[in-house]
Amino acid sequence: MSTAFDDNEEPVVARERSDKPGPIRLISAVLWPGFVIAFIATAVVFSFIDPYHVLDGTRYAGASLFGVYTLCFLFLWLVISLSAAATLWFLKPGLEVATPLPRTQQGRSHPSDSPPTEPQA
Amino acid sequence: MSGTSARSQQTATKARRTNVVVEPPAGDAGTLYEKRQKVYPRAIVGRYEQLRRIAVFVLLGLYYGLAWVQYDGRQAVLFDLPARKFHIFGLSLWPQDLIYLVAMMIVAALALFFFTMVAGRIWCGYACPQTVWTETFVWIERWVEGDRSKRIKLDRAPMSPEKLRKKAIKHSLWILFAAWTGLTFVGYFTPIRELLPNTLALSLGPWETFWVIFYSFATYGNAGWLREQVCFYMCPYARFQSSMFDKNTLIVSYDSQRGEPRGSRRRNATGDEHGLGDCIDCTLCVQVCPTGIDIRDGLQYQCIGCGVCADACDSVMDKMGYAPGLISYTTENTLSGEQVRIFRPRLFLYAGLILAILAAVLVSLQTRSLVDIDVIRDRNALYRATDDGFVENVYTVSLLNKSQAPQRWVLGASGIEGLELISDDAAIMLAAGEVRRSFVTLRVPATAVTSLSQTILFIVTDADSGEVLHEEEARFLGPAR
Repeated sequence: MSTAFDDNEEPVVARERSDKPGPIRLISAVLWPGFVIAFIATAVVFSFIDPYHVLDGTRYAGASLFGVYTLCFLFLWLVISLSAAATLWFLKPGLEVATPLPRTQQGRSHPSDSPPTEPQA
Repeated sequence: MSGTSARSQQTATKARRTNVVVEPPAGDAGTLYEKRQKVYPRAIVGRYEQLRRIAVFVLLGLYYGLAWVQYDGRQAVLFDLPARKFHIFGLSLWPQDLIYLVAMMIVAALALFFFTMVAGRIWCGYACPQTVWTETFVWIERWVEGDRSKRIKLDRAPMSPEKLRKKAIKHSLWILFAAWTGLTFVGYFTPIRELLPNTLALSLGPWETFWVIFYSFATYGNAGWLREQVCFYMCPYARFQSSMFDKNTLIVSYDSQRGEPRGSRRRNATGDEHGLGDCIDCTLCVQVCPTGIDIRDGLQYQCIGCGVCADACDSVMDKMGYAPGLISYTTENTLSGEQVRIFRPRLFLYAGLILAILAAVLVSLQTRSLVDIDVIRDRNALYRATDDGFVENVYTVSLLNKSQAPQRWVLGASGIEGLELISDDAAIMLAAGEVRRSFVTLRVPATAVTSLSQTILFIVTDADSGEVLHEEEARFLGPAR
């Protein structure tokens, strides 16, 4: 069964996707929104605040303004990403956190499935 | 609970912790994470591919070229962060002009809605930076490693001097291209004509260095490695595409009525002979897809609407002697045999909003004040009563010349009878973009002070023409009556 366009490859199967997020997806879900929001926040903050005037007269006077903008951006990126990471962590389904026991032969998968036991004397 | 049971409980918890692997879903290789299957887009010739190629050259040409264009003795497009000035050809924007930036972003968003509603995700397929740079990176990859089947073979082959050589060349070219991209990016913030020699002389400032490396790395990572995953996992647009689509939106679709049942056959055989549809199931549409999907499964959020599958399919239909268009840009209404309506209310709504905002921005830019004034009252004393029957307030007035030319201005004030402005400068000379701070005393006869606080106006007039350029409200404080 060969077509005119066969070039000795394995047949192409459209990829099956699961909803389980891979590491790249998790990392991007944390870092990427942080990046975008930090960018917007930096632009908004510094459209109202001139770091030159803020630093004037302090021991940071004369610091590179490019550096001030960069540090502010990086700081916001870090903080917002931490928040995103926390959100992701809290969204973890409860079952994944309270890792269930592997299924036993009896078909019990969780201590709550077992009949209540009397406390030992 | 006794000690023993507590301990056994602990051990149980520990055991559970180490036993995280719950039953893997069927078909999963036992890992918790879905493994990405690398996409090897196959080269294709066709009209949509041609359009994409043109889009890449135009957009990247703009990106790499615009940084070098000079206008009026300076870089035409320069976002001068330390000086807090944005230059776009003849236009200079200040932080106070943030509203224009916001307006332009709203226009951009509306334009995206507009074009998406009419023609589907053409932004994704042709103009998105992710697409454009991925395209170029794939070209480099193809040039070094060969087309799809050669790349697949190379990746499967064990490491060899030949494989090492090809991979090394590919990554070096990628890194070079990414570095040039990063340098150009920073060149929009630091004049590129200084940046490049400084880079070559290794005397770049630490922050510029950081951003060049950061942006280069982002380009290399996004266009070289992540590719379609950026569209799947990082792009918000793909997720709300369905809210912008309607039955008259152009989408890349497979005509399943005509194509099914699919199946392979001899060349030039008609489908009827085998009881088959027109789809010969050659999977070429899947092989050329930059995001690796099968368009025959219907509209998917992973589809970036580039139409290269239509190109691939048309070439096959041509070879088989069938009519083109089994996969094509079409609308839901066309596929179901209904009338296509291009002019629909939403189209006018988006177009109207875009035009209205653009008009407002243009009018506002034409009439915007070139004066920026900041008035701060002296914080130390509310007012001063002089012996000769006057009340005085002291202000710090900052004037900014937002125009592109030097200006001579006179500062005045009004609002209370007998108000007098005492200042060292009769006229204030300001170079283009200059800020000047001056101390100003306003003096009013005590008899004219009617309340604790009165509203006054600072007035900036052109020294030569006498034209009033700007008025700024302020407060004048005095003793209570």
